[in-house]
Amino acid sequence: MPKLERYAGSLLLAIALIYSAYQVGVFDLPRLARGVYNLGDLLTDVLPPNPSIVPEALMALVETVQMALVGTFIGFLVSIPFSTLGLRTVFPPTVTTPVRVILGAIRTIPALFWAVIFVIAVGLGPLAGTLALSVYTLGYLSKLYYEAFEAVDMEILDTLRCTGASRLSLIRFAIIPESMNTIISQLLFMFEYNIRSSAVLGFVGAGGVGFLMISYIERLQYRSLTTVVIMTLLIVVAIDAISSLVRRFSLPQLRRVPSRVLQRRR
Amino acid sequence: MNGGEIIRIEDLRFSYDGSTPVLRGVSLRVREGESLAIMGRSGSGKTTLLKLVAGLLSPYQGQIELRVPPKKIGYVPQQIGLVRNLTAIQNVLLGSLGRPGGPGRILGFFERSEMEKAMGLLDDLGIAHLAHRKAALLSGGERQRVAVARAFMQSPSLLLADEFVSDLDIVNAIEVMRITAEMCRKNKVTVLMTMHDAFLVRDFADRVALIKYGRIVRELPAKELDPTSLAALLTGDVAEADAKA
Repeated sequence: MPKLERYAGSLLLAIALIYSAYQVGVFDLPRLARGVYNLGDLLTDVLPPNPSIVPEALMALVETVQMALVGTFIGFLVSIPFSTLGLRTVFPPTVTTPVRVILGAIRTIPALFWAVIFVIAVGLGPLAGTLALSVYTLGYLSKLYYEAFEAVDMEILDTLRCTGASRLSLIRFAIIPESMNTIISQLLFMFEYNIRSSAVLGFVGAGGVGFLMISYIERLQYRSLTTVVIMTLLIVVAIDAISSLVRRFSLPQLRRVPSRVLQRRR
Repeated sequence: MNGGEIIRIEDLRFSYDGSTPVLRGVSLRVREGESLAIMGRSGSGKTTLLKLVAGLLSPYQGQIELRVPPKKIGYVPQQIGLVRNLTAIQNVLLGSLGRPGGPGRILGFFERSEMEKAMGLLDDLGIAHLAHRKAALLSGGERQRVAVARAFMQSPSLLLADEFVSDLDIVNAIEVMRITAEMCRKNKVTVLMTMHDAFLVRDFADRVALIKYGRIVRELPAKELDPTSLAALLTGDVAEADAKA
């Protein structure tokens, strides 16, 4: 009997797995065989890529990168004040709790849905996509930032509190410089993420390369689609490489003290 | 508070979680201009006492009376508390944040007089040549000096130093203690510090208070401290500490 109990969990899991697989059609072998045949067909449809649409795709890709760049930047600018207002080490719960609830609500809605909302609000095109990415970035970066800010050594804050420094000074001169590496690294990550994300936003008419992709799919121009997909892949890889270079060489510094002050005395 | 006293603590009790007492009735007086060292084993309540005096912990039971102008408490915490991504001089300048500054300060522009004062303090502490080095790249002794300079940037009346020079080698420890003591004497700064090294306490403090299980068990002039009998004074159980308090 104890042996049966030991295996009951595994048995139930196996039954659930097999039943689910049957329900979704994994055991429908004739259909799967047809699928393999169709994929072969599709492969002949998508290859070779169509080089004539390169200029058109390039324009759309530039628009995608612009959307990601501006969207990330706006989201970043707004996320700094929002994330500091969510800081439990600086502000009381009466401030941090509502801010965190708002940010949580923003994160619950996917970027694609934000794009639909902004297409309704401002019409088709890259502006809707950019605004969607800004809001999405705000939700995510703010959370990543307030968690990084809260990890700043309490002794630093204690010392500055003894000087009588204001909350704004604590944030400006201790929390932000101390978290600068995280701020830059998460910002670059968000930019990379938004490049990928903005490629999809075009599916709902929010501008960028996605709009081109969906129109090729609808017109069954799969060879042109292949060209766009390959070019998007190259752009994403290039942006990843550039941001890893920026990450390596970014050395956060505040304004330097003039050297003439250094030469005083002695 | 009697004339000449700058700190008066009466029957101070504190607990972080509401059930485990850390301080169990501390009474202590510190005279203006004197240097008082608190010695005790780890967990005896030294850091908590310093943080309560600094106004960093609440609520507590008992009384803490300070005759120190606002924003004139310099605090050097155990782990120094420097902003690693800022340079030495920028860290020192943080000591002036409590004073009203120009509109450009929030952008990182400090007044020339403040920068000169910061530079002068680094010079006094012998590290002016490291002014533009990031705090993360400084050695332990250099970071301790920057922390002292930051505290003096406030022109403090009271200096609170936690586990002061504990992480330094003996040469650096003596040097930092000597300079700090000299600066305190010159500027009439009262010092309340926690320390482990009995020899340094004897050389650089005026008085020493021994703390055990959250109670002061003995106060004596630092010159009378016998390092060889210190272990015996600081060990023992709670009942013994209560009896001596």
